Amino acid sequence: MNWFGRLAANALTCALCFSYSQASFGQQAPAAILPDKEEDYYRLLTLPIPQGTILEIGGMATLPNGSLMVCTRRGEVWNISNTTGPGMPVYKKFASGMHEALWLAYKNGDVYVTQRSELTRLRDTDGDGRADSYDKVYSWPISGNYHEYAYGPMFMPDGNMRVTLNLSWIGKGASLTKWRGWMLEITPDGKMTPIAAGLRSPAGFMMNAAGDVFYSENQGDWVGSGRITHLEKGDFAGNPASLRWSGEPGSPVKLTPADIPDTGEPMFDVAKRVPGLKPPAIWLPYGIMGKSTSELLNDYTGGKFGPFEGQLFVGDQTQSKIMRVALEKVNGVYQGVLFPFREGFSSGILRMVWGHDGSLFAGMTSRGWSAVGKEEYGLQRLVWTGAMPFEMKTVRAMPDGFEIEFTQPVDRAIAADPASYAITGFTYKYHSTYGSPVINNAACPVLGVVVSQDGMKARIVADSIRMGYIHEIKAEGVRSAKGKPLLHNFGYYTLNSIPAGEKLKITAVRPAIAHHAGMQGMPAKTPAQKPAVAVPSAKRVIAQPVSWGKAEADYTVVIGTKPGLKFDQAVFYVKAGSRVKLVFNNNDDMQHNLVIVQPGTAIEVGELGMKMGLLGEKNNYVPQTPKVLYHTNLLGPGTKETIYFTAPTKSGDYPYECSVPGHFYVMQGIMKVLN
Amino acid sequence: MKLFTFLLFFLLTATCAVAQQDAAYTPVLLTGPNSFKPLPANWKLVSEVFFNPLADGDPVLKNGTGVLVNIPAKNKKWNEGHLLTNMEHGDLDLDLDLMMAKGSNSGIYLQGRYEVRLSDSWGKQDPDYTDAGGIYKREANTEGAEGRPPAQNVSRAPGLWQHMQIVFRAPRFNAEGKKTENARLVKVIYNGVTIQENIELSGPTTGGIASDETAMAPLMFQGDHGQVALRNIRYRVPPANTEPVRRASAVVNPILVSPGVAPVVHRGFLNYNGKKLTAPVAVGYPQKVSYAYDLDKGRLLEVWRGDFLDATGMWYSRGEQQLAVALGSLIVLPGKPTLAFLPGKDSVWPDSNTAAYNYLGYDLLKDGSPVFKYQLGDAMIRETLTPDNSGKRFTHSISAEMAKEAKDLWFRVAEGSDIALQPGGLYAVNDKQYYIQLPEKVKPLIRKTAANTTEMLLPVTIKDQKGGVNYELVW
Repeated sequence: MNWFGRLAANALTCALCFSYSQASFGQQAPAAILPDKEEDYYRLLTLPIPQGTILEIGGMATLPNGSLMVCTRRGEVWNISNTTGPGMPVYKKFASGMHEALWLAYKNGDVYVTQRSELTRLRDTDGDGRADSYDKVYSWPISGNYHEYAYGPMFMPDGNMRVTLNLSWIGKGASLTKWRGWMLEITPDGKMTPIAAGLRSPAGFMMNAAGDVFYSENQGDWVGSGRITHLEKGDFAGNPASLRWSGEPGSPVKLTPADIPDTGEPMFDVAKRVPGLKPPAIWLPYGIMGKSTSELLNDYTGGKFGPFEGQLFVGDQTQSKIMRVALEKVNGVYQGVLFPFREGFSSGILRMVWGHDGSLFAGMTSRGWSAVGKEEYGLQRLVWTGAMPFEMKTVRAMPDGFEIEFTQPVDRAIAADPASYAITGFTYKYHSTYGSPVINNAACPVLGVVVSQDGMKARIVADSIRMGYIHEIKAEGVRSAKGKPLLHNFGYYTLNSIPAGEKLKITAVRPAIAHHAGMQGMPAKTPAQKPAVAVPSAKRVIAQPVSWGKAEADYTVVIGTKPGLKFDQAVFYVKAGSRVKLVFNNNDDMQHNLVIVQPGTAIEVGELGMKMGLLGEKNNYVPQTPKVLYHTNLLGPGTKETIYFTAPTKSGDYPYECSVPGHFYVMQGIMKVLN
Repeated sequence: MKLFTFLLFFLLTATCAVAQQDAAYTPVLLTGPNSFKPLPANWKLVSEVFFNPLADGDPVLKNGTGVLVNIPAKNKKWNEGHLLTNMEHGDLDLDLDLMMAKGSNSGIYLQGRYEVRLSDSWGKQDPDYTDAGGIYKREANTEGAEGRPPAQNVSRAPGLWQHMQIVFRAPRFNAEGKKTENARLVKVIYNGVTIQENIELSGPTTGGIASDETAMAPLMFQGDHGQVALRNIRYRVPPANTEPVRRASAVVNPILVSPGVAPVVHRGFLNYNGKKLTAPVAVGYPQKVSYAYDLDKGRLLEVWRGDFLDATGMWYSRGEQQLAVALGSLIVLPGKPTLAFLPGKDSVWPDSNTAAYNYLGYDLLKDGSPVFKYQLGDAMIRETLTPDNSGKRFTHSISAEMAKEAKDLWFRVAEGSDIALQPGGLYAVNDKQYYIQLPEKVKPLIRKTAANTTEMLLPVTIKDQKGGVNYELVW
């Protein structure tokens, strides 16, 4: 290596050292190393948007000249140049007047968008930077239901286009007009072929390098948790509302609604006896790994975006973050692992595209649904700093467990210790009910670990691995060779198939250590299912107490919801010690609960509920704490519950909230107790 | 004959004072206790009036009853010739049809004292307090004192029947006769649009019957300025206000769509005749005229004058209705397809061309106007609706390209209760709701429909594989 190379190498090492451990810079002892942050590796930049331009991004594409072409929920298309600076980005309106454009593609100089009822081609015939022709490529009937969103087109190699159609919403998913809940293929001259059914909220879909198509799904009715499914022609992805049209000419889907059992068994098990039902390749555990899975973006940047070339980035609209998926094919079936990647975006992520420099642009909007990021809309850019994060790069299924590959060499002794890991298997119910609690969760004791010579891989042999189950893999104990903890120390592997091959011979069977063998935030569980709590709780009394006799409650309060994570009443008044009958009517299209807490503890209780992790749903997201006074159960959309309680004897402002993770920050009211 | 029917029906039930509490309107008659004071000479009773919207000239009258027309004498005196009711009113809900002559102005004086302006304000972009629906200034001798323009100018062409409803609240006095509350214009609704709401009147207008204020007084129609026609005048005591008080938590900032210097094209859901349409397009022009066209069926739905759209229902929160609402004064059209192939002259115009109609898209002209493109059978059609600079008329035109010979392609111009040729060459449609102007020497086919309405058709002649037709909607 010449002197320049050595200089560069040294500079790089210094830079890495600096960014790795600022606390230890100049210190003697290798004391407490400050944990890495995501922003040390991926910088989040915000693009300014002119005031008055309501850039609620529905679709995005990068143009050959590097500009972004963006369409919005208000039906506009904007050409944004100079997106990477220096200087301000320049916004030029390309088109307008369309009905809710939720996807944009660019091909051969034309812009393609989907409106509510139409796949439209926009063409600038006179070169003045504005579209002059708004031509219909294909249109489909709609009923006027607000939930009937449309996404596409995605261009296939043969020039045809793929489009997906949201279900209608009538208190539950429905397919009010033809092809709602389907993926369609449309030729450039407007001939349509239906491809697959069973979709509910298919906002994101992509084709990988192998030519396989995947789509993302949102938790809801028949969808226990978010998921990503490999969709092939003739597949049924799970929600039966769209099967209404499976008998139409040209339909490759043979199932009818009557073929789909509503038992609450795991989807993987049902799929064994219902051919055509396609289980997902990746499950995204609700509340922990997002709530509204949106865009799917393959990393084909050739390494410009870090060490995850070939992997899949997944956006989430509610939790304003990006997750990372590594897929593999085992016995011909897609499956793989899901990791956290980057949070902190300013609004709800709906779209993601690559800039020519390998930076990632996130197009965002949250209007109507609320998101962790508080802005109503936005456009941000994620740039790799060039530094290597210490991460689990990928996890592969093994005949007897899993193999983790790291981005950097690990401390081999620690990595070889089973106590550094914890694996738990679980799944969800497949049923018409909205969402699902985690079910059948059980620890998978780690029997032994073999670490590769170069320290880059750890092959974990574990017991009780179940095919068809999601496996939470925690590696909290693992350290890099330099002593750093993982930037993200857990992932979720969806195990649709177990590879054949040689199992490792593990001689010493180490006992599972109780405090590591549990799921996030909860104590260890035995493989046997814990019985549901049947003991009546003093905090949730759902029938008028006998001690009240026949008398009416002193106060009857009816609380409902408003869109955007709000109760329809911000405050109500009761006298101290009075008898209160509270009816909570969840008229929203997602789950909520109502929890009354001690003064000043709304956020604290909500965060305790979040810490319940995967078991939160089963426990109605109500943590065990004296800060919780009274609560309803977790209610699905369109259901209500009445609770009876005696108001506190001490006057004050007692908050009530929905303690579903993320909701409690904004969904609050005050019960004012007066003397 | 309308008047006699009213007389027979209501003579026994009408009373002098406006004290009724029931919701039905009472008509103002020509004779009897519920009538006008003796008509001054300039006011005549006729059955029909023609005012030429485009040229100055004398009105054309038709003998009969039902319409009161004011034609001031050439040597008219100021403040003479007003029309007054026998009845005296306090609070009043007044409802009537009115028709202006070209360049004319008049006024409705509540209690003979407070004027709401009537005026030919057709095509005026920035109305002032002297324009139609304006509240004229107070008597005080200060410039424009408390004169208030209408919120929108929704005036139609002279010679067309327009509609106004005025809800008036009289001043209140205490036992000593001292005024405790100002008179108020609760609402003025002109051609279906609320153009004044909750405006206090601190005192009478000039030119009324008195300068003082009182609890009860007659209603007055100004007769000394310009030609105006009135009909279907009726009134009642305003019903109790049942509008809910706006709750603080229910406040939503409206999201309005307005054209700037170029027209705005807007796709969204629209209510039309009680049904939610899912493929209409609304186009709004800077001249403050707009129309809605249904891309699903190739038909013109409605036109309106005034502000463009309220899109709150589409863009606030989830937009659960996804409905846009027209803000101006609507003329709702019958909504049949513009074109059809009619095998014979007696073939019924279809409600929809279904399989033959295939929407293709729209192009934008240099000025931003859309040109709708569609196939109808073997014909390739381009259809536009564009206003003139003043916004007084729309030109509705189609061009057709067809390889084959076609003798049966027709263009439907209008449908209404009647279509009547007026002096000067305009056709008045639907009891003078709007006019049609055809190009020179074009003879339309006017025929009755199965529903006993009248429709006007023009043939589309295809020569050298091309054809075109147009007309002007003047309103």
